[in-house]
Amino acid sequence: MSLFGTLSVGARGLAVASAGIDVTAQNVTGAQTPGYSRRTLRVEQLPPVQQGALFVGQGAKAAGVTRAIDRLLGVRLVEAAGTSSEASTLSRQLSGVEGLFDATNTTGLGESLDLVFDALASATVDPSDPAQRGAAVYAMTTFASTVSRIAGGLADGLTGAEDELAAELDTVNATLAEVAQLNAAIGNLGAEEGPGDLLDRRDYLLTQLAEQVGATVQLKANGQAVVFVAGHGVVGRGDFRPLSLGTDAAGDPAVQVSMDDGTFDITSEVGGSVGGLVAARARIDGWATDLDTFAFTVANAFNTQHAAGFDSAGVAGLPLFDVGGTAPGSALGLAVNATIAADSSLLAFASAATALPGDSGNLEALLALEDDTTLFPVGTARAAASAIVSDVGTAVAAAGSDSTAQSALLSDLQILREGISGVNTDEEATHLLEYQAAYRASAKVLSAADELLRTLLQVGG
Amino acid sequence: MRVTQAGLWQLVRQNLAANATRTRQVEEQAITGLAVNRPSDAPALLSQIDRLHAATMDQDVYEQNGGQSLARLNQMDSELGHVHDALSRARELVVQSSGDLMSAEQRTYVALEVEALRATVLQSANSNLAGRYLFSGNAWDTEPFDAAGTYMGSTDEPRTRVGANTWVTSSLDGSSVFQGGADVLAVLDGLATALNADNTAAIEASLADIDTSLGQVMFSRAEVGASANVADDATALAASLRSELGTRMDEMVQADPAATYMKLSELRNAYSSALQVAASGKGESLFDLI
Repeated sequence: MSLFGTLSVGARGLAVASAGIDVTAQNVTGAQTPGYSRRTLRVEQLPPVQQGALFVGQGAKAAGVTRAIDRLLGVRLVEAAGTSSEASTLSRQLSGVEGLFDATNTTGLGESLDLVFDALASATVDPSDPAQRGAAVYAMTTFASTVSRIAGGLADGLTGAEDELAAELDTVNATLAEVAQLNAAIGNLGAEEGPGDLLDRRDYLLTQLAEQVGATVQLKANGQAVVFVAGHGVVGRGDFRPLSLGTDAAGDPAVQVSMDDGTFDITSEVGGSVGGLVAARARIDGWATDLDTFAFTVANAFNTQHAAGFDSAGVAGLPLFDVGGTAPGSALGLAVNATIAADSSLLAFASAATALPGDSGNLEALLALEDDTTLFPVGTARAAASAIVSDVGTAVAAAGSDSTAQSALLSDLQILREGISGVNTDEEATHLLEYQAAYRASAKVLSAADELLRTLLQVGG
Repeated sequence: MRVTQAGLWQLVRQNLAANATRTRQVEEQAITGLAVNRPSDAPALLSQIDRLHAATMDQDVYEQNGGQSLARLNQMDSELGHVHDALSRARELVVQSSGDLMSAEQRTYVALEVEALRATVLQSANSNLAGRYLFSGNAWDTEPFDAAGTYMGSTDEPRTRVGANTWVTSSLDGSSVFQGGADVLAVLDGLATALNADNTAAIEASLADIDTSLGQVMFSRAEVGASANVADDATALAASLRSELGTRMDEMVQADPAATYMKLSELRNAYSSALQVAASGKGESLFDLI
C-alpha cells in the first residue's frame, strides 16, 4: 500500500470514529425523547486491494445507522397502550360520577327514600299533627332533590364525556394528519435506516393513536404504516380519513368515518380513550335511564296512592310528586308538588272524605308502598335504589381494577421496550471513549503517514 | 436485560404513583374512620350495607314511635285509673247513701261529692298529652266530651307503627270507653240528681250502672295495658335491633383504627423509602468521570 493509501485508511478511520461520536451524541440527546430508539453505528470493512501478492485492507466505512427496535414488542406495546388508555379513561369517567351515589349516609339514593318511609311511619303517631306532616313533606322534598341532584350529576357526566369525545376526535385527526405526513416523507426517503428520526416520531404517534382511539398498524416494507381504526384503513401512504362525531338513530353521539364506499358508524368498535369515553357514556346513560325509571315508578306509585286518599279538608289527594308522562327526564325534574310543599295539610293521609284529619287509612297505604315488591323487577323501591348503586359500585370497581392491571401491563412493556430501544448513558459514555480513542488512533496513523511523506519529500528534495 | 436510566425512572414513577394511591386510600380511611367511603370500595357488600342501613333507620323510627305511644298509653292508663277510682268512690257513696241511715240533707252533701267525681271523670275523659286528646279517636284536636257529656270525638281509633308489622292504638274511641255499656257521665249525673232528690230507689238502682261503668273502664284499661306492653316490647326490641344492626353495620363499614394506623405507617415508610431511592437515583455516571 502506498503512503497515500495509508492516509486514506486513516482518514476513513477518522470518519468512522467521527460518525460514531455523532451517533453517540444523538443517543445521549435522545435519551429523554419520548419514542426515541437507540441508534447503533453500523461499520463495514471495505474490500481489500491486491498489490502483488498482498491483499491490503482499505479500512472501514460507516455503512449506516441502525435503530434498536423489536417489531413484535412494538405491536404489543401499541395494543397495550390502546387497551390501557381505554380502561383508564373508563375508570376516570365512571369515578367522576360515583360520588353522586353516596353509600354511607343520608344523602344517598336509597337512604333518602328510607327517610320518606320513616317520616310516614313517624306520622302514624299523629297524622293530624302539622309538625309530623311537615316532616313528611321535608323528607319527600329531600328524596326528590336527591334524585334530581343525582340525575343532574349524571347529565353533567354525559355532557362532559361527549365534550371530551369531540375534543379527543380533534386530537385523533391531528395525529392522523401528522402520521400521514410522516408516512409520505418516509416513503420519499425510502429505506428504514435513512429516516430514523421520522420513523421514531411516526412510531411514537402510532402509540399515541392507539392510546387515543385504539388504532392498529400494518407496517409496509418501505417503512410506511397503514393505520386501521375499527378495521377501516384511515391512514395510507400519505393521506388520511378523519373521524367525525355524528349521531346515531337514537340520537346518541356516534363516532363515524367516511370511506369511499360510505360513512360508517364505528362507535362500538373504537378503543383507546375514545373507546373509554364511549363506554363510559353508555354506562352513565344506562344509569340515568335506570334512575329515570326508578323516579317515574316511585313517583307514580305515590301519586296513585295519594290520589286515593283525602287531605285534612276532605279533598281528594293531589299528585304528590311532579313527574312527566313518560320515564325519560323524570329523575331530573322530580319535585314535590309545590302546592303540597307549601301546605302539608294537603297530604292525603285520610281514607275517606268524611274522615277526620287524624285518620291514617291512606297514610298506612302509602307506608305499605315500602314493602310493595311488585313495583320493580328486583322487588321494592328500596331494592331498586340499592341495585342502581350496586351497579355503579361494581362498574367503578371493575373499571378501576382493569385500569390498574392494564396500566401495569403497559408499564412492563414500556420498560421492556426501554431495555431494547432505550439509551443507557453509561453505555454511551463507553462508546464515546471508544470512538475518542479510535479517533486519536486514526489521527496518529495520519500523522505518521504525513511524517513519512515529509521524510520522503525531504529525501527527494 | 438492558437497564436504562429512563427505564429506571419510569419504574420509580410507576411505584411512587402506586404507593401514593394506596397511601391515599388508607389515609382516607383513617380520616373518615370508614373502610367503605364510596360504592366501589365494597360493591359486593353494598346491598347488605344498604339493607342494614335501611333497617337501622326503621328501628330508629319504631323506637321513637314506641316511646311516644308508650307515653300516651301510660297517660291513658293513669287517666282511666282516676276514672276507676272516681267510680269506685261513687259506688261507696251509693252504698252509704242507700237505706234509711242518711238524711236528705246529708244526701245533698253526698251529691256535691258525686258532682265533683263527675268533674274528675270528665277531666280525665278530656285529658290530653302535648295538646293531643287521648280519648277522641281520630279527632285528635277535638275535645272528646262537652260539659253535658256528649261525645264529640271520632269512633275510629288511629294506630301507630311501632314495628315492621306491629301497630298500637294511640287514641281511644271515648264513646266506647265512657259510653260503651253505660254512659259514665250520665250515670254520675243521674246519681247526683237522685241524691239531691233524696230518691233512694233511684240511688240504689244506679249501683248496677256504676258496676257496668266500672267494668267497661276496667276493660278499656286492660286493653290499654296490653297495648302498652306491646309498645314497650316493640320499643325494647327496636332499641336492641338498632344496636345489633348498628354493630353489624360498623363491622362492615367502619375501619379498624389500629389496623388502619399500622397500615398507614407501613405505607408512609414505604413511600419515604421510595422517595429516598428516587433521590439517590441520580447516582454516579461515567460521564462524570471523563
